[in-house]
Amino acid sequence: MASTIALRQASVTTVEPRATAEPTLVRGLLITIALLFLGLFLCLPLAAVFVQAFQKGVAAYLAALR
Amino acid sequence: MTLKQRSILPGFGLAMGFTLLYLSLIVLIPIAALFLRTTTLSWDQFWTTITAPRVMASYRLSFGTSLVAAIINALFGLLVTWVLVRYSFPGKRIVDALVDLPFALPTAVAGISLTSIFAKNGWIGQYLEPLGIQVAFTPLGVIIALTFIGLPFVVRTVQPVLEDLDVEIEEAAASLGASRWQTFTRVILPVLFPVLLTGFALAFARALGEYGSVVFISGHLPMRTEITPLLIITKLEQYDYAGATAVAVVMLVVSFALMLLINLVQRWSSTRHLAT
Repeated sequence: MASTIALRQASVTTVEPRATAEPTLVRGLLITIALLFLGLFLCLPLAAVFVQAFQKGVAAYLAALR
Repeated sequence: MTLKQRSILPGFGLAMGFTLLYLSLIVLIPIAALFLRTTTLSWDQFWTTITAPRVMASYRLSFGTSLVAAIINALFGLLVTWVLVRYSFPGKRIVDALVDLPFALPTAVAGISLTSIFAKNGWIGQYLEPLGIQVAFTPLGVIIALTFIGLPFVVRTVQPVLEDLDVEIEEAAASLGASRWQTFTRVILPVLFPVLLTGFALAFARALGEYGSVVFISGHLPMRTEITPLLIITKLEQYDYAGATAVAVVMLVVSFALMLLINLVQRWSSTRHLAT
């Protein structure tokens, strides 16, 4: 009797993967792919805009705005 | 005693009248004017204009690249939405805000910056060039530009639905023995599919009409990288207004047919989901 109780307690303390979540590996992979896609299609063009705007320095940028 | 037959919707006549008037002013009258303009052409002239080889090539490019871009957006948009809604990682808020930027950035700016990245001496172009992959001034470049401008549509349409999705139905699926993948494909995806289709349709429609971002990266080579909106502008610049509207009418009719088809598929999939 005591042994079965001990067994039950042991099974409770083992970490079961959550039923409504993905394994950490899958999660990390999905986040990586999503961020890579956004980086390539979204951040890179935006970065290019800023680099071109400030290529000749802040003074040239401000002069162009005037 | 006879009761006057009344509609259960109060003010239906007024609301309907206003809706029709508004829709006419904003949408129907301009489109009617477009169709009216093409009637200045004879049927033969109309047919030769819309089936000219250069025009046909532009339809193929426009619809083909828009379709590919919309599919890429649907797949990666769903992934991005999933990651943004379900997972937490540093900088998540910033990424969430970044998604809207293609809406805000003038499309011409996006076009120039994409061209500079993918040109032979650009940040990415210089690495693709030795591999024999040319992006700028090819259909591939058009696809990339159209993917850039269409991304927010899919993410922003799917996001609220995924946020409102009850975790309880996933728990129910799991407790009935479904694996996580089964839960995703059999429970979550059917709920998301109609709204994913809406995002797809919006991105597709936006891509079809897109002009600004594509002009620079396509390099408009006739027959090869000339999209239909660009061809319309070319015709307008040659004062060929009737020819331009003829091409526009074809574009409009085909787009409308495609949107109608997508709507039908969407209705079918949402009723099917409710029935099961």
